[in-house]
Amino acid sequence: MAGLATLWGHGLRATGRRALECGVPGLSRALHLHSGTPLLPPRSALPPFSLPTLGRVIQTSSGPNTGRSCSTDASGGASEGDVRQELLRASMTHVGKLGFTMEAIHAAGRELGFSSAVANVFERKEAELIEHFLEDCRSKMNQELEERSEEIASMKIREKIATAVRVRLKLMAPHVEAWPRAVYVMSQPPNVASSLYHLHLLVDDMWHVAGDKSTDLNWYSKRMLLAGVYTSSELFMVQDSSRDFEETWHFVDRQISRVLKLGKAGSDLLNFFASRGAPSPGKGTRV
Amino acid sequence: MLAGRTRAGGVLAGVAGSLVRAADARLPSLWAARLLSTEAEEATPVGSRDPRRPGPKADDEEVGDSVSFGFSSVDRSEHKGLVKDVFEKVAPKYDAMNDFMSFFLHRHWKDRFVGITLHPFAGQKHLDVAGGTGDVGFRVLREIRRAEEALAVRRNAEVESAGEVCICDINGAMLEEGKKKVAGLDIRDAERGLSWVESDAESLPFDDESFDTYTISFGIRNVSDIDACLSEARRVLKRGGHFCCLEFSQVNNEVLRQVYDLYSMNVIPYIGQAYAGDAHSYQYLVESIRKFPDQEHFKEIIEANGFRGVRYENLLDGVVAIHSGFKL
Ligand SMILES: C[S@@+](CC[C@H](N)C(=O)[O-])C[C@H]1O[C@@H](n2cnc3c(N)ncnc32)[C@H](O)[C@@H]1O
Repeated sequence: MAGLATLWGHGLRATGRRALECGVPGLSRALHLHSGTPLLPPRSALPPFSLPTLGRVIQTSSGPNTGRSCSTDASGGASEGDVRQELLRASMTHVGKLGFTMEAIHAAGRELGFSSAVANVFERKEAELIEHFLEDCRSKMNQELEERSEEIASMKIREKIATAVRVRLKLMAPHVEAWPRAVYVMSQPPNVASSLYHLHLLVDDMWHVAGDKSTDLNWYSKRMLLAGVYTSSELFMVQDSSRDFEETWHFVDRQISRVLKLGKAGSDLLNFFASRGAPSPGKGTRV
Repeated sequence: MLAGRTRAGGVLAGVAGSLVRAADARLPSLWAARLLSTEAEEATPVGSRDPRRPGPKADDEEVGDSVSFGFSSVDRSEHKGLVKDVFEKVAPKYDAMNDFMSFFLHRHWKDRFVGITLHPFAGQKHLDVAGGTGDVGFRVLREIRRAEEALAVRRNAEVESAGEVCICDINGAMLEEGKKKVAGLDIRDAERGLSWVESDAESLPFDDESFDTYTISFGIRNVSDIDACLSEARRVLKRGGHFCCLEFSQVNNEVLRQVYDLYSMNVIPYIGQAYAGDAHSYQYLVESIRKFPDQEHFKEIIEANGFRGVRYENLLDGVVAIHSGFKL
């Protein structure tokens, strides 16, 4: 709960819409935010984004054409981009046994006929494999939610959110044992901005499924709150030994209830402050 | 022939002392300004700093069959002998001078180069070219052995020392200095894991695709034909193999660059004279740094020789840079 309280604190300070930019400089850099640009824009406005690009935006000091555009040429050989994709795909088949580690990528490299050394194409090492997994889970979640859209349409908002969280967590189930180490890797300084970015994409998708169209201050607080719910549920899950993660699903429900209460109070407060400056009533989806 | 500019001792000893602090890059600008205003005019290096920006192949900047030897330009065949001469002379004091002149920073650079960029793995077959006294080669073997131990723990099996490092240098005297250190190494199966080969980087006596990884540390700027060196590197690497190069580069912080120029053009040859009794060899080292292509240009040269995923990273504002690329 301490984590949530912190998130909530951030939510309140967001009145200036610059809180995150101050608090998480890496993230705003990754998102190419400049002062004046609204904080975390609605997803339609997000720049097209690919995982390796983020790594480069944050990490590399080299020039714009970091070999990514290379395609097969006279000297033969494959393009770096293709090799990366193949490696990521092949590495996932070794994660069950080796975890999200360089060893998994080494094994994939050898399987594809390369020297193990090829794993170094991932400059941020296994973090890039973890990011690949996060992206993959998110797109699978969206796909499943899309398939169940009729069923979901008839749900109340809290059920919609709970369903999205459950679907996403279930995708992690095969790798719960490897996950604590992955969390550790992603919490290292060079990877923090990327972690937050992926979390943002995830909760944004979840709210999207829940039909949230808010563009006001609630947009921000809702996402922060859901990020807290998701993260704490994930941490709960990796320690959950109950059958089929029953305890985890209860935990998710409890968290969402708590947050909705909090969220109601919070958005009333935010709207109150907002209306002092300019009398525009918040138009967020009521939760 | 060498544009020698060793200067009187007194001033320099003072400058050298102050520069210890400057190497940190957090140099107080006031102090720097004072230093530069009194020293800069006299101490500008002989031979102007040419902006090296021509096309990718390294050969472009050479006229006819002459190559640069420091700031002077010499015949290609003569170049190799001169370089060899330099390292023959400095060999016995080489390690100590490295510590001395880089304020021990070279150790940190090499650790990073090996630990992060190269990131060795169990069973790796590695080639360290221009390996000199084995500084980088030993580090690589140590990391390989560590990875092998970790693997054995995970598999609950015997440790298998399968990885090997070959240290290659054109200069036998440097290799001999390296061999002397092997017995004292804290590395499992060091003797068995190391081999020493006297050879020119431009024509390596190894079969195609025989190594996983290749390093060249503070070596490539001494090589007469960079393209030949790179294409040999690519040849001996396996598919997927990683080429990593650690080299002095162009400093991109103006204040640091000026201080660094001052230091390297004057103080290094001076220390070289005082400690190793050989200013000219160290004068050459300094001049060859200036002559070497900048980061972007060198990256293009590596790409032009068939490497993929080429990238670089500056350490200490570009005093040194790590370039790396893959054979895909
Ligand atoms: C500055 S030392 C670097 C030694 C070691 N790699 C290090 O980082 O401490 C440069 C080395 O390059 C070697 N060298 C110069 N030209 C060479 C060539 N064409 N082929 C192989 N080695 C060469 C020299 O003999 C010398 O030992």
